[in-house]
Amino acid sequence: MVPNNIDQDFRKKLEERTIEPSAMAWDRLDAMLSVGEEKKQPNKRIWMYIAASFIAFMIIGAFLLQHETGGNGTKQVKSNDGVVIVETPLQRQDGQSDKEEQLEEIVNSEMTGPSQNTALAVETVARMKHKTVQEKPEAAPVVNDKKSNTINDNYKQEEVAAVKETNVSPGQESEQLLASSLNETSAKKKSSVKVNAGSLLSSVEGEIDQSFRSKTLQGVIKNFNTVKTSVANRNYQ
Amino acid sequence: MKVINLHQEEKDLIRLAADNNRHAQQKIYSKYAPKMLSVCRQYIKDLHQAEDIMITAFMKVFTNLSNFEHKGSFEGWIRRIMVNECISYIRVQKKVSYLEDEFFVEDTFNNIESHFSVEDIQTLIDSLPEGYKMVFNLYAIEGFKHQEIGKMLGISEGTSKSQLSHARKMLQEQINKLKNYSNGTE
Repeated sequence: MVPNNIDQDFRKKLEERTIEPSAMAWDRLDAMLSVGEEKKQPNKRIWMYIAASFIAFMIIGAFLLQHETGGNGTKQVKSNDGVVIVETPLQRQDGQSDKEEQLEEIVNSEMTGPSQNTALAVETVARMKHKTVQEKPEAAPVVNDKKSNTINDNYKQEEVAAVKETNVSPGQESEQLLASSLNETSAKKKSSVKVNAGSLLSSVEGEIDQSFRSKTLQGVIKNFNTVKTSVANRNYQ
Repeated sequence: MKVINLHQEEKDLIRLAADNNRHAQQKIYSKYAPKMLSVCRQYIKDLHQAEDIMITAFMKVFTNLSNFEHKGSFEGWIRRIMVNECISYIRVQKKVSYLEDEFFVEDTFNNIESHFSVEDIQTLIDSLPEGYKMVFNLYAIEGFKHQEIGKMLGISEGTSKSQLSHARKMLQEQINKLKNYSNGTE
């Protein structure tokens, strides 16, 4: 079919025509576009949240893994002469084991490398020992007086021995130190204060019970007195 | 030089609007909305309904703006979206039935001299049934071929031709009535 005159006339006139839309039309379109954008945005946000949570999970996982390996306590210390010392944690019964480890470390360092400050090392050893011995009575309040005297005597002897050791030639000092440390540990084991855990626990519990009982009794008495005074005042009124 | 600048300006505006720049979108809307409402009005008798369809079509324009390849005219692209939106609205809302006949008469308008105003033309088009109106608008106003119209409306090429013939015959009757009426009043 060939386009005829009236078709062309219709087309021309209709194409020239414009109809102004209402003032609200753009506002409606604007609102629709805003809604459309809001609908699109959550998808992006969801991906961001997923990515963020994944990264957080990875960081926490890495941290926990690191913590777990560190918590095992197996330390590899490489000394100067290439010997690798693997330290595994012992079961600690009290604060003494910490001190022992420190002592061992000091002794080891003295053994591996040539030392010039032997006197200083010995002093620190003696100081540490002194501390461990002094700390014991605090930890265990129920201690025999006789035993404490023996501990003090031991400490004095050790101190004298340590001062004497400073005069030893440097070649022999490592062996002597090792021997002395072994002796110390054996002596410590022998002279370790025996504390009855059951009695200690029961005494502590008894103290707690007493304090609680006394507090409650005091509270009850106080309340009773206040009630009594208020009742008496009411009777007078 | 001025034409090149204008083309570049429109390209920039389209790019900005595709990036959800509301100012650029409003500029495009202000430029094309009056023409596009006229296009929608050709198909939809109710002006408010036509405006609703135009807004929905503009929404599609802005959401699919990144798909525009700058190969043809931007106005033509928007116009095509408007026409498709109107057709889909009519097909969904008003279940149009097409007579499957092969009746068509050629060039029945050739001898008619048109001196009608655009309002009269719109009134004549509005008087047509939906099926006739769509085919007439698509063929005579938009310039589509019967094959394309058939694909757009889901009908055969022959049906499109027969619909156009029926539409023209009806329009001719309406024009004659108008002429007689105007002659009678003069």
